[in-house]
Amino acid sequence: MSLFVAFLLYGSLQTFSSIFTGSVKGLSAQNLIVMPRYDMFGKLPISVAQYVESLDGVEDVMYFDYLMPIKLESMMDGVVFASSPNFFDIYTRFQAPDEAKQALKSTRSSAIVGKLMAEKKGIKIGDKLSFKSTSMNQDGSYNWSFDVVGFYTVTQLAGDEMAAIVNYESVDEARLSEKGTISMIMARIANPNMADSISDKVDDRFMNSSYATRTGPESMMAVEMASEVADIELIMTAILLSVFFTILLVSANTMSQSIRERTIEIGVLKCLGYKDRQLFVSVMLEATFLTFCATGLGLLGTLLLIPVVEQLSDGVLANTFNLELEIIFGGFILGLIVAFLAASVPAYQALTLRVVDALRED
Amino acid sequence: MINLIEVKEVSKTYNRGGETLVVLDGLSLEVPKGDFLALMGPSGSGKSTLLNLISGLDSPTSGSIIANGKHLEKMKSSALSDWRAGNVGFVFQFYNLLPVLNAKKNVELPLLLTNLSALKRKEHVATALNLVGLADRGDHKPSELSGGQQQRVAIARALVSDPDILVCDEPTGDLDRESATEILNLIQILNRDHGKTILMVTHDPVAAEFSKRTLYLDKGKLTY
Repeated sequence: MSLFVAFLLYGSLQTFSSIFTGSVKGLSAQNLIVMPRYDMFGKLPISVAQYVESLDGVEDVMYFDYLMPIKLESMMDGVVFASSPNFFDIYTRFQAPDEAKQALKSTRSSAIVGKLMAEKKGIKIGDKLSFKSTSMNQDGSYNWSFDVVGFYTVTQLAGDEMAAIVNYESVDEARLSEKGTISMIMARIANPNMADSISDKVDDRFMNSSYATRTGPESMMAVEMASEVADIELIMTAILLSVFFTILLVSANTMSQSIRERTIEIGVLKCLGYKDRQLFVSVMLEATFLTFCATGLGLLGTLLLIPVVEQLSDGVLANTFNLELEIIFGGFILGLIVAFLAASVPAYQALTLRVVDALRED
Repeated sequence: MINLIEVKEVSKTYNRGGETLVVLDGLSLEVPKGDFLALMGPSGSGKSTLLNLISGLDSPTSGSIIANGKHLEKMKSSALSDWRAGNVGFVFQFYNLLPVLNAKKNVELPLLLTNLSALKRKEHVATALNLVGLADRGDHKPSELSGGQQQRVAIARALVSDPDILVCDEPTGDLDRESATEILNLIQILNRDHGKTILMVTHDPVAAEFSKRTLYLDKGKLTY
């Protein structure tokens, strides 16, 4: 039972940590993210985007700023991305109908809303997307309003559908402060191998300015952003190591106890002519079998947990988690190591047990 | 008569806390084929140690033990295991059946070391269980059997590989008189009708009466 729980923990941690460790599919190595170096929610001047676009190897550049709605007084809970019109051209994980994308480019008041949010809030095409934001509008209020022209979907991480995308220029013109600033730049590069050199070039260029940048591939930056909350990977590794040693201690204790309880049986088997090595191997095989059963059940438990977690997330984490083959393979390798380490001492005890000593316990 | 077992000048000592404990002291003994020998004596007299030496479970400190033509004291652990599997059947006071296995599987255990096919093993198990009168209890686990029945299963296990020697260490020590008598009758039949050579350690004089001869041990020596 304890082994099962330990492997359930292993499977769950490995599977659910994917959103923190950047192993989510669809994060591109061909897209570079440029963001403020010291503050995840800081600002960069739009000129940084122009500089990035001018670099060799950069094919296209998209940038956006956040309009953070004030939740309680707004019709939406998510983020509004005030983006350059080519958002969907570069951020291909986000997908929208052509007419909606065209409307975003041609109509400054248009908004493309995430499908999940639209479903949750009952937003329809033609509706007004009205909300209060922390940014002040030119009329002195914090009220913002856009026309819904379509919906977008994402290939993974359905939580990203809890947002809306609007036209950057219209937002920038309308707001009273922070004009000409953006929160993030995404650059599509011609060759992923150039990611490091381009990243270094951008970061070196702004290193000593008030707008120091941090640049890297999207997959790497996702991990770094998660790390700003906490070093998730380190925490995961620490938990997994704890799990591993707990499994080891639990199984070593179980195996030892099992052998101690069967001292007489082992003695009897030796009496009947079973050789020391045969009993050693049988103890090792038993440990491996038990651990593999626990591994299998733990991973099966993880598989059953995935839809539960996705359900509990209210669709935000839909289709995000997969029990990958490498996790399954890793689990069985871990099981094999645990079985070997845990059973080696009890198996050695069985190997060296003298029959007369075993039967004396009778 | 041919001696199946010859024990010559055998001593067995143990070191306990720097002190040498003499358990068997230059003991000699001959057991002819087909004998039914009861060994009696007070606790600590060396009965079980002698039984362990003769059955190849332990090695003497000095002296020699020749059983079925083999010098047991010269054999290594692995060779002794093979020898035991082919020549000795064990019956213990507390039966020592594997609780998770049913009677058939318990009886089959010694046969798993042989090259017999599953079908042949099944036949041998059925014969052994039939011999001890438990043909209809093969699918029962030890916990579902009485003490006497468990000892019968243990005897079937000891017999199933058809060994020449049957070693019984207090075989009736955990049984009531009625069951003990049944078991002793069974052991007697195995000796008389099936030619098994039987060595039995017992504290019970009534049990010893079932044997052909009784030897007494005291302080590691035979006192007759």
